[in-house]
Amino acid sequence: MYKKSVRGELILGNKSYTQITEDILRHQESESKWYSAPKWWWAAFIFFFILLAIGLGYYVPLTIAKGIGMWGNNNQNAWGWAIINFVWWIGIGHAGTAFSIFLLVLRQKWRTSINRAAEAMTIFAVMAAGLFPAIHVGRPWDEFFIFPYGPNSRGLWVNWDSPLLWDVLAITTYLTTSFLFWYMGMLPDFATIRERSTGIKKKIFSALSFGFMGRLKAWRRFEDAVIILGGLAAPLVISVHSIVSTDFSVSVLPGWHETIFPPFFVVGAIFSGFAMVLTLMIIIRKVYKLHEYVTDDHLDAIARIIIFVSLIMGSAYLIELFIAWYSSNIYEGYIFNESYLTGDYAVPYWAMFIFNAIVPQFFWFKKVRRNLTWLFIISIIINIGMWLERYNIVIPPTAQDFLPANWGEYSPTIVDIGIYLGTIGLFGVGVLLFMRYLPIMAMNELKQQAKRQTETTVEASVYDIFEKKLVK
Amino acid sequence: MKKFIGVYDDDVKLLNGIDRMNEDHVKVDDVVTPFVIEELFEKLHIHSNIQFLAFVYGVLAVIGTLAGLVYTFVIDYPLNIGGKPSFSLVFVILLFVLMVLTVVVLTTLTFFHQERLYPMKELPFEYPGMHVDKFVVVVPDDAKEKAESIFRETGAIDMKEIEVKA
Repeated sequence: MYKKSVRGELILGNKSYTQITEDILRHQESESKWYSAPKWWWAAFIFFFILLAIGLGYYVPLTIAKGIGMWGNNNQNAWGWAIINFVWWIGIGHAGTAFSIFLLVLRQKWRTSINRAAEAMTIFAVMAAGLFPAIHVGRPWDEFFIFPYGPNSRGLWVNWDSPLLWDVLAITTYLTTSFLFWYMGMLPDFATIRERSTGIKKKIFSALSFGFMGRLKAWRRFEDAVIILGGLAAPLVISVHSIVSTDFSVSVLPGWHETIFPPFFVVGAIFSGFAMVLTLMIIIRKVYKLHEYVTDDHLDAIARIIIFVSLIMGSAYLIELFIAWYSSNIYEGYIFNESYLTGDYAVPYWAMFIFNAIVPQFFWFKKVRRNLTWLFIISIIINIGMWLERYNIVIPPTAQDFLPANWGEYSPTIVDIGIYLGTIGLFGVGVLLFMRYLPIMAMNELKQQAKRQTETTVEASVYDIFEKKLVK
Repeated sequence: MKKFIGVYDDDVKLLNGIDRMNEDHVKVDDVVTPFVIEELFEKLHIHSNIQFLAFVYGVLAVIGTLAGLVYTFVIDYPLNIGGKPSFSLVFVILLFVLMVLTVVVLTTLTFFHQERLYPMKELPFEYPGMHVDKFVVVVPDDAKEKAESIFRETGAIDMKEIEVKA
């Protein structure tokens, strides 16, 4: 439960409801034209758009036209950068909804300033993730085979026992749920923008808000629907990444065939996602000067969660090493205790270990948690560390499996790198458009929070008066 | 349809006003607020059946999905995968995921349907600031006199007759 004394004030500056609206919409309403934006925005947009154009405009069509042979994948490494990036992006995509929903279910009121941006991040990250399996199948035009619409035309039903099929269904469900949860949450804010705008902008937001009006019955239904969506999405977050982990763990490869994978993947996803939320919120707070809404206490709270999750990550790494040694399985032992610790993959392994399990421990120090620069640097380091973790999961076990005569080496091609950069471009462009055109914070929830805060302050002063009288 | 509205700029005053309306048995047709005020649901006995409907959708989704899985994988085209049973525990994963998908989509559609929301929908009435910082109480036109005095006593900043589109 939220306690003022523990968390501090969640909205600083004793804001009125009008001020909250104006502060959140200031960057939109101060622009005279629909295409006008600050210089930093255009610079960032052009940069990410170029990445997007190169990756999705050139390398993806090239892959589709010429095939997966354009990638670094080979006989040994049937899965390469595509799957690393898929798992990395889906992990980042998890925290948005996890952040929003787990904190909603746990009644953590400090989510109100951050949930909208985190949910937006989810949408673009899951879109980036979804691209990889879509092109990895090699013949995207046959993808409709995954849908079970009857065996007569194709000879077979789909194989319901395959985790790859579960993955398609889980990610489709996750994207749909995250999008609807995000969009539903924005309806009241679209109504606010509709009311404050004129001309074509008013028409656009009239369409986007679907005529939502804050009627009593509408709010009641809205609250009920949102809690249902949130309540279902919370276990979905856990199930989706568990399913992603079964893509690996149901195989017999050393390094993949582990029962720890589902919780390990879920925690890893939340870890990388929270780091990305931290990165994004620091940027939003800085460029839009929203330090009264994203306070030091908010960032402090995220950093504390990251320490906790980092400790779980560190324990999981150690358990993997221990089980590989304790099981006396030579193949498992080779991957973990030789290849990772001192062998060919020691550099990415130790980098991962240090980035994910050691560096976040700096957050034990309040000075680090309260320093924006350190917070930003560590959040980036964690994201790199989590990418390396996926590299360590995907590459070494496939490159060095049971038969040394088969061992191969993996290196990505320019097409792999180009597509990865393209997804970073997609994510960047998406987030920038969101920041420019949509309400970056849930205004209606902030107002509710401001109301709650006033009540808490009043209750606290009444309590103080009574306490003083009692003491006397 | 003619209605009478009172407008507050403070939610505490609004709640006082609603209490007074209840005491004096003045029917409140609606309240438009810029954010959720949960106390109003209790005071004006506002309920919704969305959670119940979501449960029904969930039950139907589980039954439908299970029927589909059993038909495709056990009855119509059983596959022998390493001798494992066709009717297996993996169905639980699929049942959960497809149940979530069905409930989420149908619950959202239910919300949009019950509220009659569609793009470019015209609002029944508008009052400046009702999505920003104003709280609008709508009462029937025939309760105008009683409501007017309550609005005045409880600190409403504006009150007037309006035309509400059906």
